[in-house]
Amino acid sequence: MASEKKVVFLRSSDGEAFEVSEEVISAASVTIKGMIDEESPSRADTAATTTLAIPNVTAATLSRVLHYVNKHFDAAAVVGRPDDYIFCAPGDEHPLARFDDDFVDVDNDTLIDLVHAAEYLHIKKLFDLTCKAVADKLKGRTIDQIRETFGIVNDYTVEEEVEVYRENSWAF
Amino acid sequence: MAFGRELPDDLTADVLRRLPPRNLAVSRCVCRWWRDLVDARRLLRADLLPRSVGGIFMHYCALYTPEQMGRRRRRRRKKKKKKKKNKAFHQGQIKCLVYDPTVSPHYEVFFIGSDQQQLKVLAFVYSSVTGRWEERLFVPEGGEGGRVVEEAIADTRLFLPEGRASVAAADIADAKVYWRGALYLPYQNGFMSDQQNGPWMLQEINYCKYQYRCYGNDKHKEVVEDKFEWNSDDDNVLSAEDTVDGHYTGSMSFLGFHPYKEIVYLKADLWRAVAYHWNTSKFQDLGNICPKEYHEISGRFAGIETSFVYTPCWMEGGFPEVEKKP
Repeated sequence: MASEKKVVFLRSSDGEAFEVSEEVISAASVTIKGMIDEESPSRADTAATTTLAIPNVTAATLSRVLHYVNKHFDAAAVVGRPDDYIFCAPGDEHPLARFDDDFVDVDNDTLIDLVHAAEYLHIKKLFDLTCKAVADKLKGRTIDQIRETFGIVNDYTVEEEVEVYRENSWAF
Repeated sequence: MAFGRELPDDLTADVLRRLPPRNLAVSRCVCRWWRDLVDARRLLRADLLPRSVGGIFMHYCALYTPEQMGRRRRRRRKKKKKKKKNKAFHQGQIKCLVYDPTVSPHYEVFFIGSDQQQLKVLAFVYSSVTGRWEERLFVPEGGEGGRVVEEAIADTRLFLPEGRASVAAADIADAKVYWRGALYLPYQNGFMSDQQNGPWMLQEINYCKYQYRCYGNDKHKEVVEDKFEWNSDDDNVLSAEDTVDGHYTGSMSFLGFHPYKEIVYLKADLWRAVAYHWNTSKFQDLGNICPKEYHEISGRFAGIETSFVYTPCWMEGGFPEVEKKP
C-alpha cells in the first residue's frame, strides 16, 4: 500500500491557501524546497501539514504557477518522457509545447507577475519561459512600437539618439 | 497594457538577453535605461557579429581550392577545402547550409531535389532546432519582379525570377544565398540579363591567388596591396550621372548579399565581381574574379560552383547542438 502523499499549503500574499504535493513543488521550486527543508525537523513527528507563506505572490498568480508546476513537474500527470523530446515521433512537437504557448498567452501584467513569481520561487523553467515570452513581444517591433508596448518614454537627447541609431543602424 | 518600469534591472536584462542580436540592437535604441543595461552587461557584442564583408569565397569548377576575393591586410592561410563529389545526390541538386547568426544561432541544411512537380519545389530540410530532416514543399506565389515561393510553416522563401512557372533543378544556377531568413535561388542566365551597363567604379582589388599548380605552397605574389579601399561599411560609389545606355548580354548571377545593407554581389560572366546597390541602383566594380589560366584548365566547365560572402565573426561554441526543450 502506497504511503499517502505529503502535501503542503502555500498561502498567497492575499491570504488564499493552495494545496500542492510536496514532492512536486520541491522538484519545481528551489525556494520552497529550501523552506520545506528548514521546516522538516520540526514536523517529522507530527502529522500536521505545513503552511508556507509566499508573501510576494498573489493568489491569481500563484494558482497559475501551480497549474504550470503540476503540468511540468508531476511525474504522474506527465505523459511520456517530456525532457527526452528527441524520442518523440518525427513531426510531433514537445507534449507540453502547446501548453506552454497557451500558458504565456496572457496580458502583459499577468506575464510580468509570472516573471516575478518565477524569479522569487526560483522555478527556472518557468522563468525561462516567461522571460522568453516577454522577449518575444520585442521581436520584430520597431523602436516606437517597443516604446509604446512597454510604456517607455524616449529620454535620449537629439545627439544621443543620432549616435545610438548610427551604432545600431545595421539592425534596422 | 504597458510594461513600464515594473521589471527591475536584473529582470529586464534577463528578458533582453534572450533576444537575438538584431532585435537586441533595436531594443538598445529604445531608451537610455535599456542602452545602459545592454552596454553594462555586455549583452550585445556588436564587435563579434558578422557585420562586415571580409571577402567573397568562390569555388570554381575544376579547381581544387576555393578562391577568396577581398581585402588582404594580413596574410592568412585559408584551410583548403577538398572539392567534394557527393555521389548520393544527383547533379543538379542543390545543397546548402544556411544560417544568419544575427537572427539565430540555428541553421538549416537544404537539399532541393530534381524531381519537382510543376509549380512546386520539393526540398529536404534539416533544422538544427528540431534536429530532424523534413520534407518541405515550396509553392510559388506571384510577385513583382520575380516569383516568390513561400512556404507557410517556416520563414523561408525561395526567390525565382519572373517568367518561370516551373522549377527544374538543372535550371537553377549554382549560386544561392541566404539573407534575413530567406533562401534565394537564382537562375542561370535568367537574372538581370538586360541591366544597364553603368559606369562601374574601377577600383582594382587584389587578384585572386591561383593555387592550382603550387598546391599547398603559395608562391604567388599578392598583387597591389593597398589599392583596394572598398569598405563594406563606408561605400564609396561614384555617382552615375553619366550613365551609358546599353545592354549587357552576358550572364549574371548571385555571389551573395551584404549582411545587412541593400547590396547584392553579382558575378558577370566569370570575369568581374560587382556590387549592386539597391537603394541607389548603382553598380560598383569589385574586380576580376577569373583566376589566371583558368579557362585553359577548365575548358567548357568553367564556372563558379559555390560562393559565399565571408562575414567575419566570432561564434561561441560553433553551431548549436539540438536544444532540449523544457
